Amino acid sequence: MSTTINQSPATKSPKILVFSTDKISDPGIDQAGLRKIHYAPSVYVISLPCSSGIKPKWILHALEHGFDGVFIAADGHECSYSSRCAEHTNTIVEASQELMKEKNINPRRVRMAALCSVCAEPFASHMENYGKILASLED
Amino acid sequence: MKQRIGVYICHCGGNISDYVDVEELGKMFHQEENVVVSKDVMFACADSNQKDMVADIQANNLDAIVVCSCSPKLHLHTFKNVAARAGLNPSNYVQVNIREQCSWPHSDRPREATVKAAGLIRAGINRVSYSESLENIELSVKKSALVIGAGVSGMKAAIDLARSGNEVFLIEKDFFVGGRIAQKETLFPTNQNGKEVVAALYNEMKKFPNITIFTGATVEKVSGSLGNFTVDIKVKPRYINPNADKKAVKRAMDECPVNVHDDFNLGLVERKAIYKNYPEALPDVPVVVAEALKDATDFTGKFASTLNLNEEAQTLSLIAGSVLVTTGYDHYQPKEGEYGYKTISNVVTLPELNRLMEMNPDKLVYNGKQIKSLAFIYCVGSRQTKGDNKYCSRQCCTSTIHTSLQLKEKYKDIQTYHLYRDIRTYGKQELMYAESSKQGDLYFKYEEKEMPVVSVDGKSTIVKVKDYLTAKKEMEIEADLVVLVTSMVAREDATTISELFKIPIGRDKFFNEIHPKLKPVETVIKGVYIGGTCQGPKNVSESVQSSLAGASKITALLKSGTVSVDPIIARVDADKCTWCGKCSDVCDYTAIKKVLFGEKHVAGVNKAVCTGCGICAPVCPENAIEIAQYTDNEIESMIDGFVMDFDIKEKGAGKTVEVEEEGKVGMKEYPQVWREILAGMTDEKNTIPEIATNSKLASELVTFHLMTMNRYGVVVPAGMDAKETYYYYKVK
Amino acid sequence: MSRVNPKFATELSKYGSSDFNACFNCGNCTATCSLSTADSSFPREMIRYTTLGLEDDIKASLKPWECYYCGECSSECPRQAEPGELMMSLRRWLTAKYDWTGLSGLMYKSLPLSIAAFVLTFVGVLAFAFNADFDLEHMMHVGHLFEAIAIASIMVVIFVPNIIRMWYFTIVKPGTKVPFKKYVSSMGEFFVTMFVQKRALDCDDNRFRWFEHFILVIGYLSLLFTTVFMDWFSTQYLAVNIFGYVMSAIVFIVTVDFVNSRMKKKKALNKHSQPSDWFFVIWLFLMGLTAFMTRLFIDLNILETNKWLYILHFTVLVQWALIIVPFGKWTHFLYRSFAMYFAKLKEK
Repeated sequence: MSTTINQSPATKSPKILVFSTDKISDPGIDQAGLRKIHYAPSVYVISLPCSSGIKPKWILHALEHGFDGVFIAADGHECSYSSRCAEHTNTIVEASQELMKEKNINPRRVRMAALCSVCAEPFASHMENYGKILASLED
Repeated sequence: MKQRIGVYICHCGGNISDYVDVEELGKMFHQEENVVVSKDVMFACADSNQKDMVADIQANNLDAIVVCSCSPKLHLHTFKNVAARAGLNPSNYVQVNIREQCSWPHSDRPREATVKAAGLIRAGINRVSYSESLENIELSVKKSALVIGAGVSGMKAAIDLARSGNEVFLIEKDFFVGGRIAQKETLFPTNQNGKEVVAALYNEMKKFPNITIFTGATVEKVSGSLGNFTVDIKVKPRYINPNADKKAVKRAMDECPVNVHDDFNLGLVERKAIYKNYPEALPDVPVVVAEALKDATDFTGKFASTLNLNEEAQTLSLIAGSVLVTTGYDHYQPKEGEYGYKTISNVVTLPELNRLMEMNPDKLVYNGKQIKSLAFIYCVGSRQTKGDNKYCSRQCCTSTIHTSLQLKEKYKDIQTYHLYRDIRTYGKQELMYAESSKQGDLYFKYEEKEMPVVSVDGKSTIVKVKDYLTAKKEMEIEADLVVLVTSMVAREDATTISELFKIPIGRDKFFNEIHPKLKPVETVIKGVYIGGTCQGPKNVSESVQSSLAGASKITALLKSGTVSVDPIIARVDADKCTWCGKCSDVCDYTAIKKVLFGEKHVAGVNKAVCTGCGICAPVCPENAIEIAQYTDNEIESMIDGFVMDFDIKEKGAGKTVEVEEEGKVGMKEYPQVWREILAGMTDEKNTIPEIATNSKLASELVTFHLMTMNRYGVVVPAGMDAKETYYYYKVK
Repeated sequence: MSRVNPKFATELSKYGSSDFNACFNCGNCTATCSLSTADSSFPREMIRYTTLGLEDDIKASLKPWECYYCGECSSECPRQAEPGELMMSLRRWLTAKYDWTGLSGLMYKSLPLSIAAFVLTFVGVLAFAFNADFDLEHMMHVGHLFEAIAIASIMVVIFVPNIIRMWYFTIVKPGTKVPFKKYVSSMGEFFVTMFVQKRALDCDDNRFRWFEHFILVIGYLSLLFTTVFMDWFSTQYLAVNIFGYVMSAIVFIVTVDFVNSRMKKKKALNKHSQPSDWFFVIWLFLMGLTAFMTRLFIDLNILETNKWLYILHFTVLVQWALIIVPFGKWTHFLYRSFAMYFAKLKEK
């Protein structure tokens, strides 16, 4: 009577890897859950101390191993580590896109936006929009 | 690689298990090669389960554990402690968030939620299998604190720190203590004179031999880190001979022929080149503006033995275990022409009016004219949607209304007009607003896009405003004095302090705390705290509250003489590193320095300074830097875990059905506390107090669990007792 | 562009306004008022005008007359700013502004002056009585004549110019253009207000207040008619005689209740009685009572031996006709009716 459900509709919606930050955007994503605001179950989150610490090779790894897109939920100006956080994170996105170009991966498969610690609805709508964009990409 | 991993998947009393098939997942991960224990538990955080976990870890010799429950923000430390109690290094623990980031947001699609949970748990297992045992970094700390800024916040903090037995260095840039409150004649709500408060605090400080006050002192250089900061300060000379006769000094002050700009009175008057901010200013030694007396040779000759014009600045080195920054704020300075400031003669700022009031005890006179009516324009330099200062300055509404009431009390027959955007007299301060309008103060609401205009009409000054409350009728107000209610802005020299101590600055240019709610006085620089208005606009009570919070934090930090710091910091692989310096360039905390490693130069990380932010890691061209617990292996194995395919049985299929048909909950075994409760249910009718007594558990705990057990069909209610106070419960 | 004038508050306080400065413009008063409409909303707007001292705007406004003072706004006010009482004070102030002689304003603002006027008229009546040798018939003849002459002359000398001034302030000066046809077609509003006070029925207050006021107006007007035109004190017709009794009784019985409520201060509208309010209700009461008693004494044939009663009645009558009617609260009867008429004219 065992049914394999890994071919369920969930796998059809694009798989998104979200990098969040421990102090700001991850609590924002938690908040979406707390308030039962729905987004696609194909969204997976890894939380880091600061979005400036994401290595481009991680992004590439994710895109090469089954993720359709990587979304960086950055701290923007709220970052408590560095006032240049947005700048640093942007450099990382650009560096990743360089790497992706070499592998013929559409640069739109990585995206960055600032997310605050109570940004529950914005997170859900980011996921919805980004999911739609990813679904439309054919690389 | 960890080989004996324990996995605990929490029902959270239905919060998770209503949507995610935790029983099935528990069974599934049990089959994994390196997983020794895999269980679903009703409440992972319950004491009984924690005990079970400790027993499991020890009995099965587990080398890592994964708890799949709620957000790590809630229970990370709970389970780290469980690991520690069982003798496991807490770094070998990973928490997987399957509630806030799985069962709740995907409660609409339970099957997919189960698939996602499986991926999250697999990622957690992968991550923990790469985990390393890390030891906290122990640092020894000096029991001394440096407080920068001797305003009301700094002085209160210094007293508290000294009382707790710390050596305290209090340094003040000005030559006199007191800061901004000395410039206020009356303080809300006590109506105390600011100068009296300053004197009281100064005298209190003098009682503590462990407080050293430096006035006229600035921070020049900072080195070291938490527990051991070395701060070089420069103490500017007063040019007064320390042995001079007090009377002679007094005479020199009186006879001084040169006048200079009076900063304390905001330039409204001039002061002598030998001055005190105000007669009672402390410390009770005047200051000489040596530059201004250069040409007054007759005078300097006469007082040659009193003055010491050749005195030089001193540089001192202070050692402090921790630093509290209470440097305060600057008044917003209106631009020339902003509401007629500096271009129309009778336009002043609120701080200037406060000085004027103190200088005019009987009649309020400005520019030789008696002032009978004043128009206050609020929000000057704050809440600028298009300007620099987007924030509300928080205390100015109260300050203005308080000033308005004081004006009426001090000088009779005064009419005030208040042109505001919104009145924010929160808390008890609201009563003052009520009082003010009752007294006939007139309030006009204006919108930011229709700002009041100040103009001159013959001899009188006219303020034009579109009054919101009469459907924007254009009104003219004739006022003898127009007062601009200016905001609090970050001090101009805040950037210097920020650069010296590496304190992050926010968009509003004030110092940034780590978290406005949960770490309100901590900065990302370990051992450096902020208090008072250097952090943002605050009134006096709020400033003191925050600086005292900082003082308590420092006392707690310095108490034991050592401090243990989180080991999650950057590590450099010296073999890979070729020292290009890029990591050192991006580090805001100068935590990375060039060090010698054998024959070559590599990057070295200062463990006490590194915040573990990870900014250095992506910039390394050799990929030689990793952050502990965020290594490439850990992150990439998590990604692999997320995308792995799973074979998950649908709920209701297979073995679980049989268990559920018997009306039993489909978990492998009941939590310990349930077993205890069931053992305490001796007959058919048990009330909660009876069960509590029988099972020796707290009745609240019994109540709580009975509700869940009822939901899972383990027990059922069986009517009420005779007095209708308690439900009876029986085993189903 | 209007100039803010905070001194207006001081001026208005002489007309009885209380703590309106406490107002923080929440608008609860306007929201709770059952007469305030989207097109004509009050009292918040009038409070704001008053606070800012916009005299011209207030003079041009008919809104103070649109309020019938149920007092709900004052009870609902979160700052105890007494909006209802402010509207009342504005009516007094407007009355003073409409009055070309300026005497209304003086009497509202100064109690001693009002008392002096009452004493003076009393002395005048006494002097007249002496002069007439206390000849009752002669006195009653003059009294009857006085009533008719006083009504006519006050109408011509005081009221007509005042109403024209009111018309000028509210219609002409604000630049409202009204076609002549509208002046005629809107007349109905004037009479309905004058006799029925229909608008007061919409007040949230209980209907009893409206009913009391209604029968008082009817009673008062009928009594006036009976005494002046049907010569009640000398009539031979039984029906007229009984009608006079009934009407005078209505006047003094209803006013007893009015005086009583003002003393008890239970309702918001009774809390802040000014001297002008007291004079109005008490003199109305005395009018009714002394008229009733005079006719009773005539019927019992004992007035000849109690001439003092008629002198008292005559004094009350003179004071009423020369002080209260032209310069006191009586005028609200007229101004309110015209205000409704003018408001109708202003309607688009």
